[in-house]
Amino acid sequence: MNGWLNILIQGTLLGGLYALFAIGLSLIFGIMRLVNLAHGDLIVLAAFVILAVMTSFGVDVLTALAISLPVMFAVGFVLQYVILNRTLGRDILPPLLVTFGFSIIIQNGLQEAFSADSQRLSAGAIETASIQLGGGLAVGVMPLLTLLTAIGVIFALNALFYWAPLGRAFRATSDDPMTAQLMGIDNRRIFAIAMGIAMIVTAIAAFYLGIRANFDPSIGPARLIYAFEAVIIGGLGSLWGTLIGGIILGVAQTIGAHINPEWQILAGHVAFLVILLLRPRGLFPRAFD
Amino acid sequence: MSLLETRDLTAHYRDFQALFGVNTRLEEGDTLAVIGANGAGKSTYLRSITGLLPGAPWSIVFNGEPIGHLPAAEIMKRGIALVPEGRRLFPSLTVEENLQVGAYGRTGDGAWNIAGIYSLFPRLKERRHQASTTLSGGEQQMVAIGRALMSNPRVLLCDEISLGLAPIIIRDIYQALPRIKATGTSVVIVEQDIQQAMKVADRLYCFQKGRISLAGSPAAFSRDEIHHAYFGTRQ
Amino acid sequence: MQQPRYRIETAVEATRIFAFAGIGLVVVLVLLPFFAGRGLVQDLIFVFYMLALAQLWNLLAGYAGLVSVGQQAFVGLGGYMLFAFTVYGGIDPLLAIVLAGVVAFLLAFPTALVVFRLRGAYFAIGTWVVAEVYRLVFAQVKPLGGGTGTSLSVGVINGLFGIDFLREVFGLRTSLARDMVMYWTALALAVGTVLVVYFLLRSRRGLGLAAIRDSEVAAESVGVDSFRTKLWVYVLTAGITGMVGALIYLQTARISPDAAFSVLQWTAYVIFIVVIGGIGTIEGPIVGVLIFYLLQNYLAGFGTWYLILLGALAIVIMLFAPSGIWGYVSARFNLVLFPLRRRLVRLNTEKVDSGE
Ligand SMILES: Nc1ncnc2c1ncn2[C@@H]1O[C@H](COP(=O)(O)OP(=O)(O)O)[C@@H](O)[C@H]1O
Ligand SMILES: [Mg+2]
Repeated sequence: MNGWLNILIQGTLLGGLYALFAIGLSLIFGIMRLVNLAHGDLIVLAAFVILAVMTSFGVDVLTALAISLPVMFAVGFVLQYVILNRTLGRDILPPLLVTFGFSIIIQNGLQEAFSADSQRLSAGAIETASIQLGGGLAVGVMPLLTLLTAIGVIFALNALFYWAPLGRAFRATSDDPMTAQLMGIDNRRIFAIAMGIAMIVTAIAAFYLGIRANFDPSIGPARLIYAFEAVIIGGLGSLWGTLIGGIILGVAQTIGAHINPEWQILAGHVAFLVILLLRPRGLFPRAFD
Repeated sequence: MSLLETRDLTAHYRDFQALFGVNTRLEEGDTLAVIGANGAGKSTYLRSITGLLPGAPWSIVFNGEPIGHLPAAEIMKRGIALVPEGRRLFPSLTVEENLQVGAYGRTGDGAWNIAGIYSLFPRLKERRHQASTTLSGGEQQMVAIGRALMSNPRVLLCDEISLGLAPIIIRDIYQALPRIKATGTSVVIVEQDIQQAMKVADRLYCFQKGRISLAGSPAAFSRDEIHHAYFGTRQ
Repeated sequence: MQQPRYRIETAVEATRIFAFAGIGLVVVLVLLPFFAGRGLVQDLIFVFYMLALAQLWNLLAGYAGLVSVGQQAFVGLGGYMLFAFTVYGGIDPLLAIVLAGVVAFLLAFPTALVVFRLRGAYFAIGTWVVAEVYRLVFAQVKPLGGGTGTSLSVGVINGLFGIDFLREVFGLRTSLARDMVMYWTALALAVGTVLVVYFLLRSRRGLGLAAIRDSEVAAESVGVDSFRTKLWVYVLTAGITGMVGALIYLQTARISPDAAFSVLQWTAYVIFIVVIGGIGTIEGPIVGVLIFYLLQNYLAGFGTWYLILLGALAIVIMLFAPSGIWGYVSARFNLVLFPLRRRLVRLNTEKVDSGE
């Protein structure tokens, strides 16, 4: 009994990481209907940026994250403003192919710069610290922080969306970009800011990814797929849906890994496919589209 | 100098030309009526002015400055606001948020703010937290007008604000016009319904197939002249 | 006045010339292995199967609007089926290629059941997930080598249909005869794919496809069943892709899940070929594959820089010349080699051009 409870807890915590992967993807799809095939590689890029800041300035990982946040915001802003904005339109091919091209460029660029070796962000003793829950159950401090961060990020983004003028501009642009311009909203700038914010979340995700596990330049596409699965399972409706999607994916993977360590990833995909068959629009779909 | 002028304005949708050299002027504080049959190019004229359709710099002159080439968001910031055809409210925003977003690019220094809009259209205040999609057509039109006013524009462009509304609702909406003009705002009213427009206008333009078929003071024309300019009949 | 009579025609003069030149080219290619070096023959096998894959992806994405980044699912599936049929079924490899295609065709139906629930860009990632599922499942199949993969025995490859014949009649060495049989198979698949795509696009279904591409709603309103048309294109493409995959792994003689289901190898490269050559035309992939072959030959040694260059090239073309190299050439010189547009021809007087 305790065994299953443990699986559930660990899976939920893993889901926090997947939710962090997914929030950026969900955000930019929601605002500009852009599906970014380079999203996973941008997560890995952020992890390398944190690593590079740590090694070149000799700072600890948290300081490195703080420095990396504005850097990643700028990366996202420029990428969107200079290139991706040109691809938006009725045709879905240009954004897909351009971001796919970026995926290849980022993977190989990172390999050129950092080699194909596995890396890790070291955070000291907290990496292995855990809290005893009694009854033989324990949760790691880092996984717990990951989940809490995901929840915090969603709260912060929702506050932005529903309380700030910028958030209203995001929602208005998402509804009707043409009419939004009549409100003095510069779509190109709004999209660039949205991508910048998505990259901030991405850097946070990369921080937890890099502390939790090894990463190398080639692991981006798999992160994209987890992020995508979390978004679709949750439905395109809300960020809370994305969090639930991430948790379902995390639990499914943990159950799979428990049965056979080689089945972890496969179990997540199977859960995704089953939900897609039963609820094509996800668990919390958007009210109108 | 006129506040807003179009000079030989042309407009295209890909290969299709919708406007062929349109010349209009709007004086500060005046109200223009633009009439014409369906498809005459009235909405295209407004889309050009607001920057939704690109054009040559000097084809539109606002306050002495060429603005024909500017993007829509820039033009709005200079003080031209549009109440678009079909209202185009933002469905995921509440009534109040729709109004607030109207001031995103510009607040201006005029009298219009949320409280001012609610006093102009008291019915909106009760519905302030409702989704804009749950409102009646007339109420939605009020939100659309209020949203445009929130930027305290120098020029307010209204595209068929009476379309699809019951006569008494139309009357309610038109009753707001004098108060809007009283704040010094210049207004362009586009209508298919000639009567409404003529009553409030200082000057009249009639569009026909992308050209101006009649221009002048509304009082100066006979029914027949307007009829001809509107439909293009008479042998 | 006499009532004008019309006929619908697609060919133009340059096209007829090209048709004859094309037939001549195929004949030359068929005879080529008798006088070309082994290196060229092997390179051309690569060109042929990449061309076939590019044509198929172009049919999916360029014509049917199904932007898949998961075609490696069917390449790998075909490869693994070839191994299963030859190693465990004792079937001749050439027949196994066909059977692998049939399996891919059949499995495309349940695959479509899942991915067709996703629209547009999400369809793309959905196909990728499915390809990952295939990869992970085959990594679990121990008789086919599990995660590390397996090789074909020399006996199986040399049992290839036609090898004995070539050895006896022309006195060729086994290795040479093997290359020739594979070369002809690859050529047949490439030419066959081009013809299948061409005739499919000229058929009623192809007209429906063009209508869907212009406007799905309008197409449905004139009776085009968009779902069935797309499904048909998807499964047909999957079947042929499976055959190509089987051929690839017959030539490689070694298979592993990571290589067989590689998104870079079987989708990214293919997309670059189509985008660079010109998406939405049959000529585009042909141009693209030749350019890709040259780049690969001269630049692949640069490793990561080569890939960065390919990615950048595709982005630049997508942004600034979205119809690709062929699109540019054909607009500039008004050249069409595979006529798909229909023109109205007035029979009793001179030609009238009715546009598209
Ligand atoms: N988005 C568009 N694309 C192509 N043609 C358009 C578009 N909008 C309007 N038109 C055409 O331009 C002409 C003028 O339209 P419009 O300005 O909307 O007329 P009005 O507002 O006077 O009814 C019409 O012939 C119409 O069909
Ligand atoms: Mg109109």
